Amino acid sequence: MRILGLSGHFHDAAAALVVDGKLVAAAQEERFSRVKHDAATPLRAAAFCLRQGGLGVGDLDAVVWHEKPLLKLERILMTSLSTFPRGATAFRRAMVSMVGDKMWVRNHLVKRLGVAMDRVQFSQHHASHAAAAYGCSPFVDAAVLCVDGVGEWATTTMWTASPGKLTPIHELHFPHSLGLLYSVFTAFLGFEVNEGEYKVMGLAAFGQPRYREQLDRVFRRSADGSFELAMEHFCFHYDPDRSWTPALEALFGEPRRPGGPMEDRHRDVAASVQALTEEVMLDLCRDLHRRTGQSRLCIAGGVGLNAVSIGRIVREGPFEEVFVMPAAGDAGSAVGAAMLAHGVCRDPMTHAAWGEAIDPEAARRFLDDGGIAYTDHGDEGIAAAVAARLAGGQVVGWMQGRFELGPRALGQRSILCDPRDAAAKDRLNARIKFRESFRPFAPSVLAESASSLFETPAAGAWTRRFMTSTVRALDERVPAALHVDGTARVQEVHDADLPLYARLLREVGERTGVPCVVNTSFNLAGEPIVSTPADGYATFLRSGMDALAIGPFLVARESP
Amino acid sequence: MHPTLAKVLFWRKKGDRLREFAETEAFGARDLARAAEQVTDPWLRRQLIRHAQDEVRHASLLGEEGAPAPARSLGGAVAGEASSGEAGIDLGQMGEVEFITFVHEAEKRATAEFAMHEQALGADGAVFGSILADEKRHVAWTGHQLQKWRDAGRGAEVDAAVRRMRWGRVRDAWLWVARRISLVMSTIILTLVFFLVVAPFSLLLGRRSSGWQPVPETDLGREF
Repeated sequence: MRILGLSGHFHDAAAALVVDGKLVAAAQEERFSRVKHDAATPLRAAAFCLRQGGLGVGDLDAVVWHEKPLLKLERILMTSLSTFPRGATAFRRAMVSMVGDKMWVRNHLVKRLGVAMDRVQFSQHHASHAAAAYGCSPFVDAAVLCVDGVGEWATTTMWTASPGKLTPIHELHFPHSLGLLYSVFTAFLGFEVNEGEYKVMGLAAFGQPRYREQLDRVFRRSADGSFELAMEHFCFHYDPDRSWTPALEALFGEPRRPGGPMEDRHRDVAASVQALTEEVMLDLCRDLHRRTGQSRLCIAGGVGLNAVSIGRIVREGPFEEVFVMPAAGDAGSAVGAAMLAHGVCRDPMTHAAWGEAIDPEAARRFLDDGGIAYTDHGDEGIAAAVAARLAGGQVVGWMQGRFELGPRALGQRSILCDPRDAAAKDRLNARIKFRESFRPFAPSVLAESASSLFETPAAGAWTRRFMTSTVRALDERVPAALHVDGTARVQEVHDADLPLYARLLREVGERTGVPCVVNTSFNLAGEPIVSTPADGYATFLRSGMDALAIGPFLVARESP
Repeated sequence: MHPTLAKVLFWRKKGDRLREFAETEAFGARDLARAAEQVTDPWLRRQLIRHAQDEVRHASLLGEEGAPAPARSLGGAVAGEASSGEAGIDLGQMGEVEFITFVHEAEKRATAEFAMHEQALGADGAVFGSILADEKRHVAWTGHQLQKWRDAGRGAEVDAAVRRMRWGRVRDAWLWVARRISLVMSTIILTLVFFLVVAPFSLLLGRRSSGWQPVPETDLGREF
């Protein structure tokens, strides 16, 4: 069977192609359109997936959309009704958006993609998440937890999964959502919703959870693991322009203005929300373990990208092994929609490089025709050339192979530097990524050396392949890769999965004694991660990077 | 330009206008860099890369002076308002002639607009100084490329593209007006629907229960 999964119309639109139960290609629309978190129908990503699979639209057995549009419309309508008359503006704007456009997904795909009407299918949003988490995991039998902002109605779901079968246990409904609570406080702290959640997580380490008691008044937890928001503090369900009411400000004070000064109070609010999130996620996992008796856990949904929470689940949770879908957010639901329609197939994921590849010949033409000076180190020599520069304190852009699915750069489209230099962190934030000083960077380390630098709990082995959990550092040899609390979002690199990146780390290790680099995504603040040589070169020009490796070619800031 | 006329023309805050210009330049850089990958003529590729580099610099200069972008609201996203529109121009879809014609016409408009802003903003418009010099060069190189195609016997193709661009501007202006009118009409109609038709149902609606709920069975063929 040949199935194309698609997600979009909220954020992070993506396409994924599954052929005979194997994932062939998956990519986010933003990597082609260059619009960060692009929510548009992922036509460019779909075209890439078909190209990668050597298929035409007519060859597809099904095209599966990641959610049920009419169920989503029902949620929006019912919410407007339940908040009458305050929901008038939300109703009007939602009707324009949904009835005028997003409700007609089937027709849209028929018209724009050229697929036959009867080949278009729709999976429930959380079922898509669950199928992606399980289908990409290495586990045959597992419990599955999905936690995000909202899909159609569901905000939190629990499942059990076995080959060919995904069995729902139960779900929590909108507006009671851990993901939305986190997003409300992301906006409260002056950050962009669906973009700044990582910033809240990073900021949390600088504060104290002094607002936990206040949070318990707006987020009520039950003994059975469920929870509800005290809605008198929120208005996101009926006001399209605001997220909270004055009642929330009475508890937490004035919200921070975007770009405004960061005060201790803001850090403490971030720490409190983060602490609550960790506690709730742990509670959900314990409850799921109790209900299923499973020893392995798969996680998806946007909250699954909260690496600090996953770190605690790995360390303190009841499961023996944990897997988090690397594209846990909506991009991954395209993969899940396709896997679900394929009868809940499994294709264990050992890397995230499912996007478009760098074509060395096209890259050479681009450099030659653009009159850009470069050195060709060949496939064998590029790792050593870059390692020498990293060991010398330089910051290097690294573009190799197929780009990653999901929000993390995992050694295909990365900016790298030496983690031993503590000052590198500030330099990267200020001069290269142009982002907030409190945000941490993550290390990539050779898998066989990881335990000499970091705690490596067995339950988190699969999360460390994809940087989806945090661990504590064992010493301070890599200060630039550690957050202020001494933790790091480690990527363990295995030779079998990413041979060139592993070679680079080995070359770095030979020069520095530590086979580890700081690895941050190859983009500037507010932009998608680069995909093509032109994207990479355009970003290189605008940042303070010292060199850029595109396939075997090295472009240096100075002449080669 | 007369100061009063300038105030009328630039009634919005300067920071917001500069931010919008910066965003346009940044998007332009992205599209030009992408186009550079797709063309086969080395001269054209070099021009596109240099042009993209200029746009990047402009975006940076204008961005430094511009106001920060407003934050997106959670409520709008929850109500399904995330954009599903397309963005940017793509040489792969448009073809070389249409793409360069579009860039040429856009650069001409930008040159005129930036010159007007420089004049109207006085000392505050200094940022446009070096940008204008680049814009004039961009008009020149794209015009040169169009002339090269004309000389190569592709004049009809170029002229057709120019006509399409100019008619496109008229069509865009008409669509803009039509959208504004439809927005006003939909606001009135939907508000009436909400209060007259939807309201009675709200009285019948009980509070949705919180806590764990069973997961309904659905099949993939249904949209609900």
